[in-house]
Amino acid sequence: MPATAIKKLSEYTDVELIALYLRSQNADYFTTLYRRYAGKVFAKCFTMLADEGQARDATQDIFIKVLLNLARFTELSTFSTWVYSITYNYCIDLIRKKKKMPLIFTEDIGKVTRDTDDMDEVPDSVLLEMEHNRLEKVLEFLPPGDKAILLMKYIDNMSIRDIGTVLNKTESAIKMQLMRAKHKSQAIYEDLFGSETQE
Amino acid sequence: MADAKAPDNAFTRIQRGYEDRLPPEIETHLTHQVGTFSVFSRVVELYGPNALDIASRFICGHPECNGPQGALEEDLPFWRIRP
Repeated sequence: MPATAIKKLSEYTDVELIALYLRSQNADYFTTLYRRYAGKVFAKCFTMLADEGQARDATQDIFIKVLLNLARFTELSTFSTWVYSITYNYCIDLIRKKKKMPLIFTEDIGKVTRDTDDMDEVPDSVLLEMEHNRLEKVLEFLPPGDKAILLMKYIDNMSIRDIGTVLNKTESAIKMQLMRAKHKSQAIYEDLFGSETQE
Repeated sequence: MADAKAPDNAFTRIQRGYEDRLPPEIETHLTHQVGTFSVFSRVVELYGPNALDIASRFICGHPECNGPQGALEEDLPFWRIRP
């Protein structure tokens, strides 16, 4: 395809590209959508699965799912939110199957025993300003569900309601889960690096 | 467009690092699959209705004819027409 055509395709919105693809079945429209989101989907899979090979396979499977379900996409959410929700749910299901781990949130595992009423709110800055190499280590030890919630909140900037929709949980459950995930992250950080001041 | 205003924090820095490691061969595989899917859906679109029609005629007979019939006399060679 000539370069000018590619440039034009990149100017279309997601919804326009979907409509054009569904009408014409022209692979170029889908490839444009792929180029727009593949990196982000791959990064999420990599963070969730902690394995490059699995992340590669997952990215491919997720885009096949997106392709097969494209006609079912309704504009109730943005296309990116829809793709990311497929991504998170795919990764969570994969982890469940592979590790035979039916329960994947902190409260499910039962490692957090304190009542949430006694918990102080961990400020967002504790996680957001963490050195990224250290945060990467912390994420490795977090349960996948907690990891997904943190990624949706701090990377995708999703609202609590949207996170709830993606994970099929109520808003209050997500708020609680988010608080627990932050506490858990802080605890893991302290276990790994001591309670030294975070940079 | 998605994530035009993605925040800059430790999480997004990790994500950006991973994004750069996206293997290019995924796009090649996917493009092949999308192409196959497009061709397959076109084939179904073009030939599906005809194939179904042929199958239904094969099983049920032609909708305009009521069961098996003999050939019309004018279609037969003269030596097969009864005197």
